[in-house]
Amino acid sequence: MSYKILLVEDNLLILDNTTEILELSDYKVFTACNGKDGLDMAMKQIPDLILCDIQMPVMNGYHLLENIRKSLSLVHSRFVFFTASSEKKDIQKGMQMGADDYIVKPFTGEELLDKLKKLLR
Amino acid sequence: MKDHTEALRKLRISNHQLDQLEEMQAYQKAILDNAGAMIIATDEKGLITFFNHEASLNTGYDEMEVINKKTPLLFHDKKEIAKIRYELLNELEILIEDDFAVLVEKARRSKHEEEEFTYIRKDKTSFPVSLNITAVKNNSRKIIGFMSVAFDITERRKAEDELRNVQQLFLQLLKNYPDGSISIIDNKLRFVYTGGQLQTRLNIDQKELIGADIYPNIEEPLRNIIIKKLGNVFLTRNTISNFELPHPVAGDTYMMDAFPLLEEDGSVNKIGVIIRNISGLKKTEEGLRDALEKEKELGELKSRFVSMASHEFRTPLSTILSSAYLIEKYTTSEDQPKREKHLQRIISSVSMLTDILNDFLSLGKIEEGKIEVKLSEFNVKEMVSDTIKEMEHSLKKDQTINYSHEGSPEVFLDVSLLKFILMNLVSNAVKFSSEGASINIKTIHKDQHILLSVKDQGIGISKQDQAHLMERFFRGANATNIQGTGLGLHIVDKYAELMNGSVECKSELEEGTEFIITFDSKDS
Repeated sequence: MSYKILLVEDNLLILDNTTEILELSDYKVFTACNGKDGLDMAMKQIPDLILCDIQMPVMNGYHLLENIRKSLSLVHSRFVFFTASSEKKDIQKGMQMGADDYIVKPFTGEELLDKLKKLLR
Repeated sequence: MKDHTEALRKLRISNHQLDQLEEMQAYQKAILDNAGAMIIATDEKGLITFFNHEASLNTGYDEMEVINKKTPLLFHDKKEIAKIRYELLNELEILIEDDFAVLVEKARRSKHEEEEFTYIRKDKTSFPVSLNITAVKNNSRKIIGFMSVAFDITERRKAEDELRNVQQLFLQLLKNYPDGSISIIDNKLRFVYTGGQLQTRLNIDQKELIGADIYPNIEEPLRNIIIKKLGNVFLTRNTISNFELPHPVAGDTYMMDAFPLLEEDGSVNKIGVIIRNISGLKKTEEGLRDALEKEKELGELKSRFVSMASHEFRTPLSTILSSAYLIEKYTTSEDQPKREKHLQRIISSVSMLTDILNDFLSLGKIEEGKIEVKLSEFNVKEMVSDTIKEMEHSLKKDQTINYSHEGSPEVFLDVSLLKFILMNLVSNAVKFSSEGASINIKTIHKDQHILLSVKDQGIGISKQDQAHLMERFFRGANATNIQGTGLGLHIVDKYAELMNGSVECKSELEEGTEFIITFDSKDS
C-alpha cells in the first residue's frame, strides 16, 4: 500500500512538479492550492504526510498546521513545511507549532524523497 | 691772662662743636644720599640748597651744577607748571606768575599731596616721578625753604599701563564675544559688566546695561526663567552648565553657563554668566541625526531587500530544480512531451528570475537618477494589443483581458517605460484576481491628455494600504501570502512621474482595483 501525501502549495508550477516527483516514487498524492482547501482535503483523505507551503492566500501554512493539530483524526499525519525563507525564525515558528520537519526551497527531488522516506519509515 | 685762657677754652669748645656739627652733616648727607628717593631742598625763593646723590643720578645734573645756582624748574616740564597754574586759578581764583611759586603753592598752604610730574634729564630725556613738596619752617613758623622728595615711577607707570592694557583687552574680549554674551552679575541681579555680540544683536548699548537689571530686552517668560536660574546660583553656589534656554532669543537657540565668583573670604557676591548661540551646533546635530536616520533606513531597506530577494528567487529556482530532476527521470521517447513541458517550465522560471532582477536593477537606476526618458511617437493601441498577446500565457484559468481605445492612437511618450507600466499593472491584476475573472484595459487620447486604465475584479486594496502603495517593498495586508517583491508599483509610480504622469488608485476590498495613469502629452 502506498503512502498518502497531501501537497498544499499556491504556486501551480511547484505544485505540479512536486506531484510528478512524488507520483514517480509511487506515493498517492492529493493537492490543494491554499490552506482552507488543504484542510478540507486532509479531513477527507487523512493523509500519512502533509507537505505544505507557508505563504499562501486564504489560509497560510501556519494556520493550516494549527487546525491539523487540533484534529484527532489527523493525529498520525506527519507535517512538513515547504519554505522559501531560510530565515531561522520562520523555521523555528513552524517547528514550535508542531511541524515534524521542514524543507527549504529550492530543493532537489532526491532531497525531498529522502526526507519523506525517513519520516514515513 | 684769665680772659685769654677763657677765650681759648671757648674757641676749643666751639671747634669741637664745629667738628660735631660737620660729623652730623656728613651722617645726614649719607642718609639722604642713600634714602632711595630724590631729595632736593631749596630756599624760600627756590634756589637749590641740597641735591642728594639719587637726584644727581636720576637727573644727570651734578650737585655742584645746581646748588645755589638753579631752581628745580631746571628739570620740570613747563607745560605741567602751566597746568597747575590754571588749576590754582580755578580753585583759588588767584593768578600766580612765578613758576616756582606755582610749584610750591600747595606746600605753602600745608597741603602735602603726592602728585605725578615729569622730570627732564640733563640729556633731555624724561621720566615720571611721584613728588611730595613740604614747606620747611623755622621756630617762628616762617617758611624758610622747601623740601621735595621724588620717586622715579617709570616701573610703576609701566605696570599700570600694562594693567590698563590687559583691562582694555579683557573688555574688548567681552565686547566682541561672538554671538553670545559674557556678563558679571551682582547679588541684586544687576549687571556689573556685560558684553558680547548678543547685546549688539538685541540693539543695546552695552554701556547702558552696566548697573541695570539683567537682560532687560529678553522677553518674558524667558527672562523670568533666567532670573530664577541665576538667583539659584547665588543661593546654592552650584554651577549651571549647558542649560539650553527653553525659548529662542532673536530667533536663535542659546545655551547658558553660570558660575559663582568666590571671594577670598568664601562669600559669593557676584556670578559669571555666559550665554552662547548654539543654533549652528543644533543644525549640525540635526544634520547628523538625519544622516543617521537615513543610514538606518538604508540598513533596514538592505535587510528587507535581502530577505525578499531570497524569498522571491527561491520560488522559480524550485521549479527549475524540480523540472530538471523530472527531465532526468523521463528517459523514454514517449516521455518527450513531458520533457518539453519541463524545459518550457525551466525557461519561464528563468524569465521570471530575469523579471525580478530587472525590477531590482530598475529600482537601483531610479534611486541613482539614471533612468533616461526617450520620448518618441508611437501607436499606443498597437503597443497595448501586442503586450496583451505576450501576457496571455500567464493568465489564470478562464481569465480574460478586454481592451478598448478612444481617440488618436498616436502618442508621444517613452514606449519602453509605458510598456513596463502596462505589464506590471496587468500582471498584478492577474495575480490578485481569481480564475475566470476579467481584466479591463482602456486607453484614451483626448486633447493633450493620455489615460491608461487597468481594472480588475481582484481582492482589492484597503484604504489604509492605498496610502503606502507606492513605497518601496510595500505589500498590502491582504497580499503578504501572495508572491511579489513590493517593487512593481513603486517603479510604475516613478516611471509615470518621469513622463509627467500621475497614478491614481480606486479600490474596494473584495471588489477590485482600478489603476488610472494620466499623462500630459507634449504631443507630436
